[in-house]
Amino acid sequence: MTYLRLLLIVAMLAGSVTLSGCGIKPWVKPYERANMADPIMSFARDPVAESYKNHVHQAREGARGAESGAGGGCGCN
Amino acid sequence: MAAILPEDRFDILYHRYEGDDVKVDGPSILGRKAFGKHTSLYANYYTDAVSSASIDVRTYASPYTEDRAEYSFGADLLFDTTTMAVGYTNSEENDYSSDTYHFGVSHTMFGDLTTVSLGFSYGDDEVRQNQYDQDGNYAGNNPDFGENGKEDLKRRNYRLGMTQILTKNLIMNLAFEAVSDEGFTQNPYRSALIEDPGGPIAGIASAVSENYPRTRTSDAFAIRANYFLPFRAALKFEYKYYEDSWDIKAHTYKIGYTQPFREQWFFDFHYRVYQQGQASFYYDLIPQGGLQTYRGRDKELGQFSSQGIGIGVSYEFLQNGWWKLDRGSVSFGYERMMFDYDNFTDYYEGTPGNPNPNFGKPFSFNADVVEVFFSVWY
Repeated sequence: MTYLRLLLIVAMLAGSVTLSGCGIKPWVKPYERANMADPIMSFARDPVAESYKNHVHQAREGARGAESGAGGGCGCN
Repeated sequence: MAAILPEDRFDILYHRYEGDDVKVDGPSILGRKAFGKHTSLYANYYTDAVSSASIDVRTYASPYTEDRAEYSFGADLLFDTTTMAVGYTNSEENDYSSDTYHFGVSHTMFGDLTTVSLGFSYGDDEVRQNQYDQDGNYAGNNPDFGENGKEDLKRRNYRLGMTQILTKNLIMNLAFEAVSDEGFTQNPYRSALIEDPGGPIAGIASAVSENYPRTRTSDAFAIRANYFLPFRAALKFEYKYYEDSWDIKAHTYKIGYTQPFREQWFFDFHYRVYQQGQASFYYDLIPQGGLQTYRGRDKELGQFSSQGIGIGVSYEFLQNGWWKLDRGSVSFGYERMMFDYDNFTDYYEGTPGNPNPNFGKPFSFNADVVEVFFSVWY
């Protein structure tokens, strides 16, 4: 578990430092980002609905974390 | 992708979950408004009204109803390419109080192709145990529960994320979250079952108190990718791996598809699979004389899998704006969830004259999840 965590942190930090440090030019130009700006490409288009879905999953499953949104309490059983 | 404040919008949602004789419904209201160019504030009110006669309740307890109310508010602050977020959530039930403080920072870089984010939450919960009178009405908290009628739980969440535009049609997100719980990690009502020939539960078992370790640490890692198809539609993939110090390991797979139609309509489809292994101290039925220090029979800690098939439809209106509104939408979502437990046996005998035909078989159930919401942007 600790190895997995360490590996991920190192990979993410190394990745972002490498990308920003080497002066690589952005390969997707601003005028090529129309598709990215389309709401259908959003990871969470409707926050209120996304947060509810996460709540349902958290109440019924052992797993938790790495989803969008955050909340407290339970309301389960 | 450039660092921008979230959109100003107001949402009002009705949600309903129904399955295994459990019904949970209520509203959620979320409002967000920017003040100046650098600050956006939000507030959310959410409630769950629960009525439950779930398998645990049917097997050894009495049906109950309860309400939960949750209030959240917070702010996002934008400084050039960095956004800071702070938030607070309070959740109250008559046997559970929870306060959570959130902090996060995200930074957009590399020509706005990359966003990295860090987050931390601290939760301080108080767990109590309800008492009920002979008619099943709430009669206050049990003063003999825990220390002075209460137990504590501290929760810490550490989040790390990266979103990367890979091509003009492909975006990817990596998310990692470690959670650490310390304190009363179990449910104050649920029981484990121990083998007991002639015992009160179906003549084969007795109920014994559960006892969970007082710490739990978990790691979850998710990878998500959204792909813009050659026509206007999006294909979405998600995989999540989870493991914790209770030996639970879980995999989540999800595929989604979003299809707009004539500018105003959006159709969403998804299929989700969740698979989980059991916790080290989970017992379906503890063998006679085999009582262990740590034991639990929460089916969410057992080995099981679930599938979910969902559809969503949104209709946008006022797309050219009206009065102070930019646009509005009304949305409907439905998901059918199917749960199959590998080592959680249905020990509910049924009622006299109406025996449970699934007695002694592995438990399974289906649930229907409905969301209806109305949104306006301004």
